[in-house]
Amino acid sequence: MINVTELEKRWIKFKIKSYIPYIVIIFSLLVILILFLTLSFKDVKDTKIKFTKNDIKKVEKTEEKKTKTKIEKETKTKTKHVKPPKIEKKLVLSPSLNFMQDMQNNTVGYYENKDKVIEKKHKIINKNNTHKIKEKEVAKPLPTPKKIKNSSIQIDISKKNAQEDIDQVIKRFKINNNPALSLFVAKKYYELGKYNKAYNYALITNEINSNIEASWIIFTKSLVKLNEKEMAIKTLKTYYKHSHSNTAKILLDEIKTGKFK
Amino acid sequence: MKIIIALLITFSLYADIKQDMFNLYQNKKYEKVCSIGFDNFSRYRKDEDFVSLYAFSCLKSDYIDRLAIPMAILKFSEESRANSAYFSVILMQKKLLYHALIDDYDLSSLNLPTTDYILSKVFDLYAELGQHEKRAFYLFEDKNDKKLTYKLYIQKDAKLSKIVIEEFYDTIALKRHVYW
Repeated sequence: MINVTELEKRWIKFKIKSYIPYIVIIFSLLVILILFLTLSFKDVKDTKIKFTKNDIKKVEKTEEKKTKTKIEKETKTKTKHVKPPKIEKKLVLSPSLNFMQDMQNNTVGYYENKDKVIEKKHKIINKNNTHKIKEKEVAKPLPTPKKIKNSSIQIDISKKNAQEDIDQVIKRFKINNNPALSLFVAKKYYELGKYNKAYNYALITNEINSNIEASWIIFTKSLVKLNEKEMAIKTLKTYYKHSHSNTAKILLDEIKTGKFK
Repeated sequence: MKIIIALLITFSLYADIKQDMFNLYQNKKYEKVCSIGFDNFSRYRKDEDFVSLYAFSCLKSDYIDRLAIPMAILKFSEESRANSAYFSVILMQKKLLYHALIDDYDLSSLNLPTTDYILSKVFDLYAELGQHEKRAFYLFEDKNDKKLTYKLYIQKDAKLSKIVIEEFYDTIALKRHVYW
């Protein structure tokens, strides 16, 4: 009888033995591969480290050279230019318009004489004793207009004239209700710093004719001067929407930014 | 007697012209003042006030070439010398800008004094550009007011090219200046 179990065992042994050379070969190949890979990685790392070290050294050297050359150049330029560095601010020339004041004063001089005559007339009425003498003075031909020496007197005279002019224009305005006259009054009051009155007359002008730009400008400007900035902005905004005026827009921006106070 | 009357008439006429010019100047009618001054210049060239008034009105109405004679005449007082220097800078800047815009003359190396006049402002802004490629127009922003811009370009006519500077405030055109 054939022992089957033993035969099977022997067959398995034989089969395993037949695979051994293949397994060995595969194993050895794997080992070689692993070794090769590990070695190759090591090489790459080493070369990288070496490269970076060299680079750093080179960069350091070049930087040193650059700084040295810069310092040398700077020292050279410093030694060459002993003068202080040039200031880049430009010289700004401005016009001188004093001659215009002189021209204006010449015209004011004429009114000054007129005022003196009026004052003298008042004195005549008050003092009867000196009546004749003063009358003579008045009758004398007036001197030609000359420059006024004292500046403080000049200011008083011009203000008086301005007030008289305004009064006269107001009288004319009451007769014919012309908006040009009320605008003139508003402008004059604004110039004199009487912003309340300027505001009132600009308002009257606007009521008569709402299309006069200058009147709206004076109106809002005087509002700002009367510390009614918000109201000024509101009115100017509505006027700008209606008219698309450039000056109104500019003034509006100036009020908003605080350039116009 | 006749001579005295003639003298009186001439003096009164002179005063009238000067006064008229001054009044017109105050009413901002610069072009008219400039033309009156131009017509009567030879008679009153010795009066520095008259010459200055004429020059400023011409400057404000963009007749810059007319500044050349006042520039040469104004010299007897400190004020007139200052004004003469002021006019000469503006006139020079106009000529240089014209040369640069048409012939590509480089202005970057120049360091000239400046003024408050618009042409000077634009000249400075253009000079700051240095060497550059020619453009159809230049847009400059005012250094003090960002909303204020200037457009600079050359208007080419058949005979003559003209410098045009347009002033804008927040995209609104304010004024157009033409120089040649």
